[in-house]
Amino acid sequence: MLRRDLCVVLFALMTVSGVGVGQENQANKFIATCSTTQVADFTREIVGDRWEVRCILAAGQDPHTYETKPGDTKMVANADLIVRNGWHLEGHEWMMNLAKDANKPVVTCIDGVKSLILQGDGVEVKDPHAWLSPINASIYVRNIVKGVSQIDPEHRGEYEVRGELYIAQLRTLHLWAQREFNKIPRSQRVLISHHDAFNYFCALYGFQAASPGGWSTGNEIGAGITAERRQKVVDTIRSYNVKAIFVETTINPKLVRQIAADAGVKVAGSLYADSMGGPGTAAESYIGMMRENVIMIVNGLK
Amino acid sequence: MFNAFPKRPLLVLVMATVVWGSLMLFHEFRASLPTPEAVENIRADAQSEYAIAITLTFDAQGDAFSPLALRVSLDGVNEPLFESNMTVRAGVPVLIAPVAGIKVGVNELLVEVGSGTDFSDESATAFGGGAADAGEATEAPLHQVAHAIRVQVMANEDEIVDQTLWSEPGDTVSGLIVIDVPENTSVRATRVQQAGQ
Repeated sequence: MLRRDLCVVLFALMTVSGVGVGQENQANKFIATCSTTQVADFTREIVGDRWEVRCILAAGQDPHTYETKPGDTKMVANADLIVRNGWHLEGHEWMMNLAKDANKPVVTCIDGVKSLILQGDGVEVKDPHAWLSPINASIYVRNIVKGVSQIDPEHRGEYEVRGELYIAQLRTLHLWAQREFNKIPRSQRVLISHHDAFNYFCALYGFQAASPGGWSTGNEIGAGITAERRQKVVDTIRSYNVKAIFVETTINPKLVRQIAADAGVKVAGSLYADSMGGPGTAAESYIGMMRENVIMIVNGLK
Repeated sequence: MFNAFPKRPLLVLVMATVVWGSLMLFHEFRASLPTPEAVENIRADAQSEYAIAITLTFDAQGDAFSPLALRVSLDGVNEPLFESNMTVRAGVPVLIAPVAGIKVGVNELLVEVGSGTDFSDESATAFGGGAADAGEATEAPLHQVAHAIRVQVMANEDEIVDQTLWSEPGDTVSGLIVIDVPENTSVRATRVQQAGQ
C-alpha cells in the first residue's frame, strides 16, 4: 500500500513539473493561421517548430466554396499572422475578411506573381492557382519568409535558410517534372480537368489546358459550368485526340465522368489542385502533391 | 494514542519531501559546478597571398528560383568573398584577389554558380510553340546541358588548386574545395569534396 502511495506522489510531482515545461513551450510559440493546405505547408517548412501553424481548410476542402464557421473567427483572433493565397481563391475573400475583422497582419502569398488573365462572361480575372507552378511556389515561400520575419525578426536568419533549402527542393521538383513531361509528345500535352486550376502549370510545362468549370468552382463572376464550356471541352478532346482526362480531389467527379463518356475517353485519375492530400497520404505535402500529379498525368497521357 | 495517529499519510509526506528535496539539492549542486571554460580554437592566418580565378563554360546568371549568378564563400567568413547577381560571361575568368581569411589548417571554399536557365520563358514551352515534338532531332535546350566551372587558387602566384566542378543538367553548379594549409604555411594537398548539387 505504501509503495502505491509513494508512486502516486512521484507521479504527481513528475506530472506537475512536466506540465509546467509543456506550457512554457506552447506559450513561447507564435501562431500562424493559414487559409489553404498549400500555404500552410509552405509556412511549416519555413517556421519549423518555432511557430504553431494552423489551417482553416482541411485536406480535400474547396477554398472557392468554403463558408466560414464561428471556430474560424477564433482561430484568426488567436493568430499572430494570417497567411492566405489571394486573388479571390478564398471565395468572396473570406480569409481577408476574417483577418480584417480581427485586425491581424496578413501575408498574401500570391503578391509578386506574374498573373495569367482569364476571360469569363466578359470580365477579366487574375488566375489565383499560381502555386501549381513550382516557380510561383518559390515566390509564395519568399513572401512567407518576409512575413514571419517581420513578426519575429530575431529569428530571421533561421527562416531565410529554411526558405533557401525549400526553394532548392522546388527547383529539383521542377527539373524532375520537366524530365518526366519530356516523355509525352508535345502534341499530346492537353490537360483537361474539372476547373481552370492548372493554367500556370500548363504554361510552364507546355500543356494546353481546358476545363468545363471556369476559374472557380464557386459562384463568382466568370466562374461555373456552362453548356458552352462543356461543349468546348468535348471538342478539344476530339480535335486533339486526347487519351485521358482527370477529375480533381476536391470536386464531385460526376461531370468529368459524363464528359469522358460523351467524348469516348478514359478518366485517368484524380489530381490535387485546390487542396493537398490528407495526413498519411502521398500528397500530404506540396512536393508530394505535385509529384503525384506529375506521375498521374504522365501515366495518363503518354 | 500513538496507534490512532495517521502514520501512513505522514510517512508519504516525509518521503515526498525527501524526494523533492533531494532533487532540488541535486539541481543546486549541478548549478554550483564550475562551468568548463571554452577553449577557443585559434588558428593562425596563413602567410601567403592568395588569389582565386573562376572560369565558366557558360554564361552564369540567376534563374526563376534565385537571382544568384556567382558566389564564392570561405568557411568562417560571414561575408562572401565574391557575390554577383549580374551575368558572368563564359570563358572570362573572374579574379578574386587578395583573398583574406585563409587560415592554417583546412579551409573550405564554397563556389555556387547559377546555371542561367530562364525557366520563366513561357514562350519556349507553350503548347504548339517553336520546339519540335518528342522524337525529332533537336538541339538540347540550355537547361538540359551539363555545366562546368574551373577553379584555380594561387598562393604567392603559384597555382595550388586547379579543379573543375560539374553540375547536373539545368542545376546550379556548386562544390566545396578544400585548401589544406600546413603549419609551415607552404600550401599543399587540395581536393574536391563534392561537385554539383
